[in-house]
Amino acid sequence: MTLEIKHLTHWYTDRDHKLYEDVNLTFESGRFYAIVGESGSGKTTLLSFLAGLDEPREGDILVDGVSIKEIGLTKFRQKYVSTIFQAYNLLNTMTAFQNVQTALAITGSIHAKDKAYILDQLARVGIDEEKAHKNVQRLSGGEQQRVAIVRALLVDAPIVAADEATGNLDHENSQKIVDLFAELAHEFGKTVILITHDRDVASRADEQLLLQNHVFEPI
Amino acid sequence: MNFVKRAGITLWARKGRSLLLVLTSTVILVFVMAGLIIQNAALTAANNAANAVGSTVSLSANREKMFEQMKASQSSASSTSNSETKPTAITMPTATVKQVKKIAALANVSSYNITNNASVNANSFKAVTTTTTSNAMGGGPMGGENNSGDIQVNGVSLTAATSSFTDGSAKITSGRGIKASDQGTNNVVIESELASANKVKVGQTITVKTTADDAKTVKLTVVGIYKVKTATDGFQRNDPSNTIYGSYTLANTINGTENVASNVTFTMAEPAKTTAFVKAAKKYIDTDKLTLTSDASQYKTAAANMKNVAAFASKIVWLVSIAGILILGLIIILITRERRREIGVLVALGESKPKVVAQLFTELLAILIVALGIATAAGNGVSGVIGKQLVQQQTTQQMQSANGGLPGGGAGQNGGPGGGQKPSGNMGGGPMGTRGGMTKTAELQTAMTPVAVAELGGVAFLIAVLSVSGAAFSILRMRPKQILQAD
Repeated sequence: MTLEIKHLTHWYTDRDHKLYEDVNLTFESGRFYAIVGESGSGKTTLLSFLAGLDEPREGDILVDGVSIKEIGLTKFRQKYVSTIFQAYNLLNTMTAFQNVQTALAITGSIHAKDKAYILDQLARVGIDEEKAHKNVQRLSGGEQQRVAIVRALLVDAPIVAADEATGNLDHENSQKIVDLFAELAHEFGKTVILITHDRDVASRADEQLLLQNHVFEPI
Repeated sequence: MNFVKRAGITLWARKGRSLLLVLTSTVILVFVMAGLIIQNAALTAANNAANAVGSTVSLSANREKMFEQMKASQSSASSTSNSETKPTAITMPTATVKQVKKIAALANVSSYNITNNASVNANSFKAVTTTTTSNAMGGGPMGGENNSGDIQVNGVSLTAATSSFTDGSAKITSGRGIKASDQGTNNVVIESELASANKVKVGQTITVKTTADDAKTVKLTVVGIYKVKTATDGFQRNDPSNTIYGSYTLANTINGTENVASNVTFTMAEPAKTTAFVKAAKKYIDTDKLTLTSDASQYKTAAANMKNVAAFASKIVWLVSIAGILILGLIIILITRERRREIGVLVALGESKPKVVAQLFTELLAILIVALGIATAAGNGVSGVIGKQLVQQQTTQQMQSANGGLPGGGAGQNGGPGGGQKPSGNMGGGPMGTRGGMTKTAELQTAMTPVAVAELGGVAFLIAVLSVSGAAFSILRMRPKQILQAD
């Protein structure tokens, strides 16, 4: 599966102050990409386009040559991409287990009703059964981030888009998550795109892109 | 996990908020329920009142037309002759028994009563005299004034169907009343005062003389004695004790007529169909000579009270429903704003916006179902209290209106001429006796019915749909990135 950004141009309010201009990028399946850049450079905005959460002013995003507009943004979010947010974005009324189960149910995953599987995957990132059945608000920031990551990774989407996914984690847990991303790309053939400003984390990716002066440059 | 399960999880996780919503919804639904119960009860009471009070249709001479004809003949007589104009005597038209039977065979007639009056003079006994009536005002019913006797014979089909007996102003104290089997006989029922003054008992015979020029003596057999409760009011020209009840055929015999029915009262099985009956019955009569008058005013008054209550209850339902929609709608919009992030996450995960709206709707519906249960349990009691208050208010208004409109306070309604009026020859009078008294206000039996619960369920569903609509509009316009970035 190929994810392409074609002639992407975007600005917020003033057309003369463009965030990007005529960006063209290609992301291949089975590869782990890291996008680095200064704060405010537009990394998160790019992720929102790749995750189907927003549409650029100009240009298009294509999956195997088909525009995501044609696919439909809701269907694209449901079937093609799983997103990990910097602010976790868990459902606060639910437990860790229910958060993961909800995501699996929405995307129509075959594991949606597999309780043991969900608990096992949570345990892999240090969320034991007791914590899995706690309301997410009663978990620490790091634990919440791990729940959010498991939620995104268990979904059978071919693209994983992560925004500062390791930002709230200690070095050890951060390494575990990056290992997981690499595993997803290399062993499961997914396209993993990680937004980060941690150069160490970025160095683990197959390809690094630097967003600077409105353009993306390979590092 | 579908949206229904998510709704359940959310409701359970936010128990406090759910409870408050249940309480708010319960208050709204209790008032809607009370309104619906009162409305249904009032409409039922209106129908019951109508059926209980009943409706009658009277067949009698068309006096209006007769007077017009009389005036016309008088004016033509005065224009053609200079001689002294004499009062024109007119004979009031009557229906035939054959016509009456045809009309009685129409649908919706539960019973009918023929009344023919005749005036006679006491022969073997003495009429009761009342001193206060000796100088009473004249000017009784027109026609036949010269033929008046001191005894009035009220010919009827059944005394039991006569208004004096049905409203309790007259009551059989000895023997029996006049029945259909008395047709063609000289059997009579006399008043107790007349009986005791002349020492007449049941089974004895009395004689009367007709008032015609060639007066004949008629022998009457007393089969019953009745007592009249209504006192003379001083304006009556004869004592009510001088009224004798017999079969209408007896009145015909005395008047020298055959198969005549001066007045007929048809009692309707369904008061609401009175107008249709009148329309159908008019085909059997000459409307220039005879008229059919419906007496549905009593039932209309009783029904009107309840219909007013029903209309008020309907307004309660509408007002409370609209207020409920607005209150719950605003609450849901506020909750939606508070839950923007949750909605954004769901949409980012790939949930469709309509399903997010469906989740909100399911949550509110679940709350309203619980509230519906509580309202159903509490609605009966509340509606009883409110309903009683509404009926009292309505009755007070009715009484105030009646007192204000009639000097001396609420006079009896539908009081027909008759009673103890001076006999008036072959004239057809109105229904005898008074049906007076204030119309009894129908009771309001407020009771929970499956229909009321179903209606309340419908209202609750409508409230849920409309309340969520506002929030749905904002959810459908939401862009997940904006929601998630705002946090």
